[in-house]
Amino acid sequence: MADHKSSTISRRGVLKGATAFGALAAFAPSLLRPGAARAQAAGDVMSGSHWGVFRAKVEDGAWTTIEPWEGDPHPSHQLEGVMDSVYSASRIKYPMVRKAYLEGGPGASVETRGADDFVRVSWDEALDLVAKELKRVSDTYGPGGVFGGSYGWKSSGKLHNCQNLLRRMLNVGLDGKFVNSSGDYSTGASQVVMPHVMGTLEVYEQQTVWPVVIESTDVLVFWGADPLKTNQISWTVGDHDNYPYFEGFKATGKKVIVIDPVRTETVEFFGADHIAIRPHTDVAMMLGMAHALYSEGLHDQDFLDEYTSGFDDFLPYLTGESDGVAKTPEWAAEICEVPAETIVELAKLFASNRTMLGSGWSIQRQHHGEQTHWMLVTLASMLGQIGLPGGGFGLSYHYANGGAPSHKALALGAIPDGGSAVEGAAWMAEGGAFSIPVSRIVEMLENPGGTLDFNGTQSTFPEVKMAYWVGGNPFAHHQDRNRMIKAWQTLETVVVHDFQWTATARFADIVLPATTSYERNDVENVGDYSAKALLAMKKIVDPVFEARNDYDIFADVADRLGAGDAFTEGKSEMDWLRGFYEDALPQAQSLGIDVPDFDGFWEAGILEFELPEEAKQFVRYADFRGDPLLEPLGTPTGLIEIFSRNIEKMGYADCPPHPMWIEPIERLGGDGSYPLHVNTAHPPSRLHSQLNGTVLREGYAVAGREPCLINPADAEARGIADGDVVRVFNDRGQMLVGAVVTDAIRPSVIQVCEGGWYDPADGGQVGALDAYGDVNVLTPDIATSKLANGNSGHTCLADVEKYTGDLPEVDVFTAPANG
Amino acid sequence: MLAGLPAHAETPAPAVFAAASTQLFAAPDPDARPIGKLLVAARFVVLAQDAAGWQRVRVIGWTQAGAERVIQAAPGIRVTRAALAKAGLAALEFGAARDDPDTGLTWTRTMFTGWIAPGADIAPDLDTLWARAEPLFATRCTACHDRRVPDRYTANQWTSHLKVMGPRTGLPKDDQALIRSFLQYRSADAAALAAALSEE
Repeated sequence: MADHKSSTISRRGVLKGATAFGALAAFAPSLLRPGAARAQAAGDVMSGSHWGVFRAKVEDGAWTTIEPWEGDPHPSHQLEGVMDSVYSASRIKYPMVRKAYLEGGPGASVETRGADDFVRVSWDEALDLVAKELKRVSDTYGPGGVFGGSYGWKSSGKLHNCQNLLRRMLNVGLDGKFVNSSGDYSTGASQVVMPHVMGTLEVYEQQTVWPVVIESTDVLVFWGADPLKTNQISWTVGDHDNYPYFEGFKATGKKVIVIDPVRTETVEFFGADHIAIRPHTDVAMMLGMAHALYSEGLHDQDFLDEYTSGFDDFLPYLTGESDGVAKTPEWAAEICEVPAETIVELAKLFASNRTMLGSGWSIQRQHHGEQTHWMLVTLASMLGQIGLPGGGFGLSYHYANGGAPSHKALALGAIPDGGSAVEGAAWMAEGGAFSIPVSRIVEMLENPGGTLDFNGTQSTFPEVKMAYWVGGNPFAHHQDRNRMIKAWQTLETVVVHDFQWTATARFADIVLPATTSYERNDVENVGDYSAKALLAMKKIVDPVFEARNDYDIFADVADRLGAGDAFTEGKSEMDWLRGFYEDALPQAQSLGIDVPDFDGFWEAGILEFELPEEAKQFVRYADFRGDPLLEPLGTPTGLIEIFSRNIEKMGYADCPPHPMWIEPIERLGGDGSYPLHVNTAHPPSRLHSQLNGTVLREGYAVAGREPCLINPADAEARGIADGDVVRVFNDRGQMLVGAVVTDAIRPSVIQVCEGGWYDPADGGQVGALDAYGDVNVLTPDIATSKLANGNSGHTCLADVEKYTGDLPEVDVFTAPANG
Repeated sequence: MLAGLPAHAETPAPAVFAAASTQLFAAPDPDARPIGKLLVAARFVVLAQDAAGWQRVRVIGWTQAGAERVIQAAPGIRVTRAALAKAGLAALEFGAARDDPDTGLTWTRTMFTGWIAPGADIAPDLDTLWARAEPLFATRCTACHDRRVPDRYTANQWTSHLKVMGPRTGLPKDDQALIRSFLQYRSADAAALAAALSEE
């Protein structure tokens, strides 16, 4: 099932597949950059990306091969796609404007967005339009008019952080009058509930490190996580430091348990015990385990007394004293489809062994997602091992190599968002929601003036009329695609920067071609948690066609708004990079390390840092466990809050004051009229939607479409054979995908990974059949609860049928006509 | 018993604020070991100064039973003014207690008296500190993620966040503490903290 590629990437990778320029165009430079000067003609260049550090070979001004950096312990097979992203047929070449918009102005024929009817314009024309619109919308609609909360995974790099650059332009050029966003689609629910429960963000914080886990953990659990797959990518530059530790743990022969509807790469790698839980029922299973612990007296009452608050308020719910329903293993088994004996067995196993409960984020990306990790913490508290070496819970082992020990590293700054100018500006006191929880964007567009309840506050949705999107693809990451297409029609102007013709670009009015990281210089650290090195991300090739750096585009827009100097501060690209590095140099002294000056660093290309011994011994919450009074948690009681008075005071029906099992709007075995759960896991050969428009797709597409895992029983019942094109559908939408019949996935569950590019047979039409497989055509746009307003991308029922109609072409991966 | 100002006649001293982490001593003795420290943004008053420049100081705040070594700005709001070694407990006096029904904790009005060495970095008001903190927050706290809205978190949560995020800035510890205090005074507890300042 998983798409494994070896790390030897050869010229064949360049020749395969449809590039914009024909199979041998990499060697025909004249087709690549009409009118542009060349970068270095030939040589080896080192750079990096979310997928890791790599070496690029340039011949005759063209990038021809990509090899992983020799210091990468486990390179990702996706590097081939990284190189192809520069030249693929999906590349945006010129500034483009939607024809109806160019002819009719803002708000013209909005229902034709997505129909791919674009006209090429000059850069000056495009920038004039953008600046004019920013001014008009701001003047007409005030600070709520422009949405600048652009969200997405963008590209690595401290300078060319296009989202910082967008907000910098809006801050200096529009006095900060824009609507921002908070939170993210990764940990939307947990990052809001954990500060109430553990007093801290939790999800992006260092874990008990792997050397300690290998040494001390007896039972390693991955609940709703596939770390072998997801550790390929990092927010900064991928380090992949976890992989040798996975080998290390595997070599101990100690028990690994994976709770997941799919038999994943992680299951296979560890030879783990696999529990194919019914999706969306994790809280019920945890409650069943908690009940087993409590009724057998296996819970750690001392830990609960010393380190937690509110267990006695939660207990009547667990035992059924308060609602008449005892949350027994039998009660749980009926909901989660895991036998009661197994639930009891697991409880006993965890109670009598040093257990690390690693959990992924899929299980909180669900309706009532706040409950899941809150209940996991409650379970871990009853086990009493939090703060012990190798015990407790960890919410980031699967993400950006969490748990890889942290090196003694320089911390670089980045280009600031220019917001210091607008601190305390008068409009901020107006009470409008000038920052919305990010996944409420469609609700905001549908409901200007409506009430937003969020984490104990109440505000009013602004009336947004313009959206400026960079470094992201909301027409991939946001749920309920058809509802979104309709809501997007309320916008008068949509501006998008990107380097590929994503669905978001196709639904825009003004599309500006941006450079990739590989056409500009930058700097970044390697390893979000390990911080093992600083990398000079050196320019590999000149910008292709008319692509420009986001930095330069925004500087020009800022200039038209009268703030060009404020934006650039008179600095060039290399001035900024030198500044970040030189500002960090004083840290070297206090860290006691020897580092080169900027020129030495840039020449060497990479600066690796030492790993101190004590970093290999870090145990999360050891300090709290050692002295809870003097090292209190950031909660009102200073303890783990199983019951939260702050949340109780909010009075939210969908987020009660202690963890509870709450029926979602739809689930297998619960409400909802469709028979199959749709698992929308992260893809193995992309970063969300990034790299879908590259040669990597050939390694996984089935019948040219996104693969859909389906159990043999479900396939047979529907007359579906491996490789068939199938239609997946529910009341929210419909899409075509390619069937992969496999028993790796349990019955009644299908998997279509998120990030597939939306390819409507009738572009722009609400309800159109998606020819490629954007699974968010099927998912609901419902907030997890009023507490966090996270997204619920894993709450989804649908059905599948063999598709026998005329097969629409998949054409989303090639540029629109005129492009 | 803490009833207000000390019995002997002293003109009320204006409150000042620690601009850096500052060691506390039992006596104006350069050879003695410190018995604690003032944290950045700690509010205190200077009672007297000796010829060598040592200053006798008083810190007032609230402590939790069992955690008397940490003096907080307000009950339940762990904006720490002073952190003491065991030896510092002798320099404490206790006043009225206040129960918090939400947490079941009891907070006691607490006063510490001791000395700081000459040359301490002292700010006349918090605005002086915020003027230093604000550019740090604006530039260093948007390198890896979006700018945060301070009042979306409580002061206690900001303490935990900065434990993790502070080191990621690479800034000296006092600068990290300055950002933490800046955010705490703009947190969801801002009104309670402002009230605590004006009560004193």
